[in-house]
Amino acid sequence: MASNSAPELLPGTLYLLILRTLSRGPLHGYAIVKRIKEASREGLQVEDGSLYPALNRMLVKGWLASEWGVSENNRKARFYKLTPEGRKQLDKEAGEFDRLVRAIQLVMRTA
Amino acid sequence: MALWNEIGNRLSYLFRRSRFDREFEEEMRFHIQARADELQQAGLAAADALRQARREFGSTLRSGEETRSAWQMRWLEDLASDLRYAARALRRNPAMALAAVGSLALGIGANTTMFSVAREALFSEPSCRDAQSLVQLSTRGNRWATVAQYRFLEDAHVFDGVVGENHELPVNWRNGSRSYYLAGTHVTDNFFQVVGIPVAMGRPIERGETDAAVVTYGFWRNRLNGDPNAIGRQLVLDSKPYTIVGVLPRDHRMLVGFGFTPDLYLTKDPAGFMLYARLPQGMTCQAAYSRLRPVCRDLDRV
Repeated sequence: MASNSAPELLPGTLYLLILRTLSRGPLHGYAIVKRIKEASREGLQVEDGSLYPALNRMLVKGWLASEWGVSENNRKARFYKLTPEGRKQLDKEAGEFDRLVRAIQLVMRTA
Repeated sequence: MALWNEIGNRLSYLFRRSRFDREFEEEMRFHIQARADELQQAGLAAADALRQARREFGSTLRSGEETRSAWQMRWLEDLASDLRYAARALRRNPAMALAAVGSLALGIGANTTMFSVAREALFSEPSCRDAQSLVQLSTRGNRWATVAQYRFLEDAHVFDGVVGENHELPVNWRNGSRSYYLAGTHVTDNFFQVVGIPVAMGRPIERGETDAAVVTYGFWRNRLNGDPNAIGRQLVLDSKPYTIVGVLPRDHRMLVGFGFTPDLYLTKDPAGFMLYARLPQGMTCQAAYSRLRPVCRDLDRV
């Protein structure tokens, strides 16, 4: 499986990835995993077991809303979408993440 | 506020737990099915594809547990289940429940009673103006004085007023063809003025009145049926007509202390009185005592 070779996610980045993935429109759980995997060119694999707890924690926080709909192959599926609250959180976390990565890179290059 | 939204979301979860479980199961099934579809497209047989999708997903039970815990307020649910357990245990053992309820009731009741009595006995004040300057007089340790002694002390002008009160005399009230036995308090005509007792309705008994009565709230309520025109009504007490001039407030407290409530106050000279006196402004008990001394020498001759 790809997950064996994929690096582990940094703590806290799962929220950021989900928020970013949903910023382009509502998706169901399986599509979120797939989108992240494709966008990272197989570099990131979200564990199925940790996806749903994370999605539900985000529902509790009010960053996401969910509703039932029909999937591309005509099955009943639950779709998640960003709330205005979630969009704000995405901006905040994305900014913080950029700063963190840049700082780490700086250290890696100079030290 | 974000925190309140979150608490609201969690609370709403409590009321739709079973729906949540159903929906989560459905969502898992969809996820696994979607993966199986994909594997099938890649060339696997339907049964193999489903088996592999299931294996990849791992334990739905564990995942469900973790997902649920995102919503839960552990302590609240624990508390609820503890309460349910306690209720079941008590229902199964009614004798034990009865004993527990009984001992709680007795404990609370006893404490409430003690508190009420202590408050009433230790901290309550009689219904009067400036209780600090009101004193009780006793002669040779005897709290009862004769009418003659009362008149002598009143005329001596040592105090700003001396009053007499006797609350131990029953009164016979003749009402139409029936007679009632009332707890009457006999007072001197200056009693209300000197002591300064507030009335709720009408006016207090005034100096010089010999046939006036002031009734208590309880008497007015129960015996006169809360008559709004009670003022001016005649009462035949001990075969003598009296006029009601006032009604006392509900929280009226007598000078003698707690626990005793008469039906009415009336002006009448009984055989004996308990004496109270109003000290002139600024006079201490000591000063009053020394002024009383020479008067008392004469009092002995009364």
